[in-house]
Amino acid sequence: MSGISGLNRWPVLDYLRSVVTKAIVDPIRDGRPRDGGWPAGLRPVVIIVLGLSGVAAGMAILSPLFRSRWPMVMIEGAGSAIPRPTVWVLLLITVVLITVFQAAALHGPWWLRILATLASTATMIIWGFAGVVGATGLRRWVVALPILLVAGLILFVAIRARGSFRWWEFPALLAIIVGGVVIAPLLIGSFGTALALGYDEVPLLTVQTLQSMATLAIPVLIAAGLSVAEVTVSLTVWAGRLGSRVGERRARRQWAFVISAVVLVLRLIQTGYQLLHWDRVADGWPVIFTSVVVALLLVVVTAGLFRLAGSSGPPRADELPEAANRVALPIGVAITALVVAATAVVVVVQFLSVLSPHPFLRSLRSVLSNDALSYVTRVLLGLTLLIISVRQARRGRLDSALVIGTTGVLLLAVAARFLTGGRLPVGLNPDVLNLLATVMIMVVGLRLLLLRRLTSQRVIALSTALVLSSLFSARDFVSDPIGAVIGVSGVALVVFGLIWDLLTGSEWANHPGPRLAVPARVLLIMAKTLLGLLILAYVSLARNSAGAVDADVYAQLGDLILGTALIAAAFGVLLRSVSAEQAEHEPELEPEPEQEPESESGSEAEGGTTSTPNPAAVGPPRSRVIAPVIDPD
Amino acid sequence: MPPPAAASVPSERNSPERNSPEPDSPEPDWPEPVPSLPRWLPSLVIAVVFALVASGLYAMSQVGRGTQAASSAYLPADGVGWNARVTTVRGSSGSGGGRQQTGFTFNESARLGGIEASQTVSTALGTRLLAPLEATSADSATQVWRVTSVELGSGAGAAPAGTAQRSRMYRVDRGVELLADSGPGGSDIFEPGVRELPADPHPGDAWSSTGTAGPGLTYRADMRARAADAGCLAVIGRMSFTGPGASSVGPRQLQRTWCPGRGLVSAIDQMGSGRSAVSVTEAITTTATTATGIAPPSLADSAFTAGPWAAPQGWSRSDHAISVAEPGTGGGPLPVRPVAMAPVVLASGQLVRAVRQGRDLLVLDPPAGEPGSGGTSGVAATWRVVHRLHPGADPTVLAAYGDVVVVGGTDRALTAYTATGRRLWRLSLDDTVSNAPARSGSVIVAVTAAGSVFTIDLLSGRLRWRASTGSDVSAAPVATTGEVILADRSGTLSALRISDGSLLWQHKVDQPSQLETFGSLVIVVDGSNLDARNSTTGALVWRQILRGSWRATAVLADRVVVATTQQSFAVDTAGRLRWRRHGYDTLVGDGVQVAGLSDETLEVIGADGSVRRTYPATIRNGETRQLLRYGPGLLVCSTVYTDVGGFG
Repeated sequence: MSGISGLNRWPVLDYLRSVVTKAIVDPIRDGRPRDGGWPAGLRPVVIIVLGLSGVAAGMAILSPLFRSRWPMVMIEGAGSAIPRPTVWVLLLITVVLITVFQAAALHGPWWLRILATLASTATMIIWGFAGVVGATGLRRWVVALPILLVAGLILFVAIRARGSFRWWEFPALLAIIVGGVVIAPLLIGSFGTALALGYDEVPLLTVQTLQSMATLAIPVLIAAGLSVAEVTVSLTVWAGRLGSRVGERRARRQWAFVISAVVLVLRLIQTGYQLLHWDRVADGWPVIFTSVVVALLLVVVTAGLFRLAGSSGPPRADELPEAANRVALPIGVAITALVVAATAVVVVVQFLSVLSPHPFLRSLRSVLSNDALSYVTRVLLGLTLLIISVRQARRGRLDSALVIGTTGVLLLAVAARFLTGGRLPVGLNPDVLNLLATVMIMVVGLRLLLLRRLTSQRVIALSTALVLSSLFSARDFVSDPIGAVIGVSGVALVVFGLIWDLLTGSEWANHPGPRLAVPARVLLIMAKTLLGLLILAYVSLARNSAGAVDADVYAQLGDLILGTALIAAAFGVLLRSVSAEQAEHEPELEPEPEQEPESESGSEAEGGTTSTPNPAAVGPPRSRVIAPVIDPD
Repeated sequence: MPPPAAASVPSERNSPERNSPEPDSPEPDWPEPVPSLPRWLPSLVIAVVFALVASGLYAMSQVGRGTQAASSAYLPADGVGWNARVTTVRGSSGSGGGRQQTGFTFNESARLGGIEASQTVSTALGTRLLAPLEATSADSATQVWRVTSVELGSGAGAAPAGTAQRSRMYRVDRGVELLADSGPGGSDIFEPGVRELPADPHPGDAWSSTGTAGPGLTYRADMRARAADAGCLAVIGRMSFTGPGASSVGPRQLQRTWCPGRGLVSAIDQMGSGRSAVSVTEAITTTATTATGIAPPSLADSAFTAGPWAAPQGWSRSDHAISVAEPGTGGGPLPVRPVAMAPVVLASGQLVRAVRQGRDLLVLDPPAGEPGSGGTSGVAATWRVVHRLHPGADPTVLAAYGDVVVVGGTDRALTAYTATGRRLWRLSLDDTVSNAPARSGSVIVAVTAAGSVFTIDLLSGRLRWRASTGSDVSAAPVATTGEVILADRSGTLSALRISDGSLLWQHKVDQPSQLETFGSLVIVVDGSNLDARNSTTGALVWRQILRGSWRATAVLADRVVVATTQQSFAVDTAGRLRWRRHGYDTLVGDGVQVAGLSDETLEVIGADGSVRRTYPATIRNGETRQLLRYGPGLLVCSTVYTDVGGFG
């Protein structure tokens, strides 16, 4: 049951249920992977991956317990220790993940096949050749086995590339890859040798394998950081929209004003508290200046995109989370790829400067650094996103344009310090940005009040923006409410983000594409989730990045850039709807497929607005087709 | 009310064409199910393969752990330490004419792989051990129980504290066999080992063992076991020698008591008879330190760990290897690899270094002639191993406070030792400690990876109080006169009162990774900022921008010097930038000036930023180097190589 049906019986409960349905249940229903006639053999693989994902999430959440009870093993070079009994589980998840990736890429585009084959062969080589150096006599020839298995894998990939999904591919690939991992060390006895010498090699190799694939997890973690903002915006906007429907009724209009007044007072108290605790050193004029400039840029970009979109009209704010979800992973990939490329440039320059003491190379080496290039790439990416947002707006895809455009501005903002050459302590403080947004809401509201145009619809729209503002201020708690209970910072955020992303962002895997069939898409979606949770489990068990990536830091980066951008875009849409005298709630509220006829009629009667039944809404789930600029195909 | 714009334009998600299958792939491209294939077969095959893989990987992760004989139940676990009373009676004690001498030892148990154990001693001794270990190949699964003993220095005629350690090696994968007994008095190596216990010992068992006991000397040991109290096993026997030197060794009467999990709780060796009789009784005691009144170690700094450098413009460079002296075997270099962890300097001038082989901490005396050598006649120009400390786990942190060294390990415990190799205390915690505990007077504050804060008396190991930060920590804590400041990964900076653990202040920051005290300020490396906060209130006083990744911080009298990968700079107490230079890999200061180490050079820089002297110091492949203050000079230690570079 959805919409605002049944409001006459338990109005508050029905209202809350409707909000949750619209903001939580519907996106999951529409966005989850669906077994719509999957080929034989796909479902058990998905079950295995989901099971291992649950194990990985459990290991991350229960890591304090494991660390306090189980024997620990030091990871040489990583500066951390992990519980020894978890090592084989991490290894199992790793080989299954690699196999799933390989199986997904088997019938995909050539570059994906190469990438997956490289990942598989790298793992087989790391393990297969580990003990060969110290082997003597006939054991030296054991090296032939991993070589044969790698060759067999490549042959398998070449043969099967032109075929279509078969159920036996996954177990065959699993057998080949695991064979490559275990056969040589077992035959050589390298693990026994290492133990006799004082080294526990299995954890070392497991961690080495994890570290080698950690970079691939960065985009997934950045995208996961968006989830809290996604849910926050969705819940708030739907609460506002459904509330405005209630507020439309003459008898309840005064409640809209009362609730809005309460929201305003709460936000003012929150703002007052923040101002009282203002740190004049940390958030001095350079930070305020930066935040004001960023706020102005956001206003300009948002207004410009509205203008460019022209007659297509503003999107609904509740569509923005979906749009942000679509662009999150591609933006994460872009950020990561550019950083990897920048790192490669630094390494090459360092290498050349060692080979040749030419003054130019030396000076280049001193100028180029990972940090500097990382900022440069963010500036370039920010500008690129702004250009893409303009193109999207011109094509009438305003929801995507707004999210991409605001993300571009945020990327420029986080690189602000670099733009000053690191000489000024400029930087973006999201709280200042939020404060400016609150001021803007209040100015708009005051103006409407003075003009006697503050209708209940407008006041609810403004209240919605204020609630967003309040939740944004409390984002530390919202994003990691159980961090203190778990004892590992950021785990809750990442686990929630990855699961939410799987549940709401997998619609792409329910339809075939020109280059990737449904089984490949499903396996890729599963691999993505498993990779993120695997890395999270590892860093939680190790209690630091431990030579891999700091899952929490990248999720926070995603939250800062993508989450803030989404909320900024939502602000833009809400304020636009108010100033353009358009109520945000107006679009149809689609009936649910299972909606009972009497409820639907009741809804319309109570709501006072006749919703236009939308066949598309009751038929196939809403599309999450990725826009051409970000389509991985 | 005007119709909403969104309602007039079909949204993308509701667009019918968006919901229809894509035109280029209207039909699934996987094959139709083959009718002859049972529906359950793919699931079954995949499940079976997955189960095989899971169990196979589990089995693989457990291989190579070696076998443990039933007799291993009588051995103490790895890292267990105990005190023992050693009574030596010379002459006939029965007539009352024997001369009795009592001393105390501290002993540690190490359970090691066979090859690994041979690498914890000198190359000469280790090579000789390979034969009785039957370690003909590197994957030998032999297991060794090593007992290291250090004199606690009490009683008339007892060896002084700090005398070189005694090491006894037992092969334990097929019973308990004494392979070697090496100490200040010499080294005895038995091939094969003297069987102290059979593989599966029971009361009533009798056994013999024979072998060589050195050049031209053979031994024969006959033992039998009977039941003793508390499940222990009393073993008595006789050991006799034949060969040219047998008369000087003489037969021995042996009495042993082995208790499950406790090892050799008492041992009596009687040699000779009449006036030449010598009886050595060694028994576990719990009263060694109280009975002997051993003085507590000093917690004060010394010239080795504090004070300004003498003449850094005139330093000379020297490189020293690590060696070990094992009388009777010739001693020599130690085939160990360091753990990637900075060594620490004790007030006594000794260097404590964690090594991979044996998971030991080596207490090293400085090369002869160097300040602090104490006149030892060690191998020239080498750091000499005097003690092997074995807390029983891989070290996660190492710190020194005066003459006390504290080590945290993967066993979630902190263990403290004195410079003489005596274990002061051991405290089990809820998680590992990865950051050096902060010291305030005679207490240290340690923070575990679980975010628990423990305040511990440095001399007794007594827990003063315990608190929780609520999140995993991200930096080593620092202590001021009355408070300890902590940073966690959730971005919270907290100050707790050292006396009772009460919260004094808390501030939200970004990504704190390093803390340092600087007068009344606490310096916080927070992401790309260098913040100075009032240590009393936590208020931010000033902020500097960090360009590059942080590498090191050194506090001088009126300024703090920070090195990053891109630059180094000095800031005074008011936050004014005093100078800026290129970056360093690491740096260390003496309160007046700093020394910065980069890939090629070591530069001594004055407080004003001027370079006083540049020394060549080229980095080697794959190593990361640490700088340690050492008396009037510096030590350069590597994460890869065991040798120690010195400037002084």
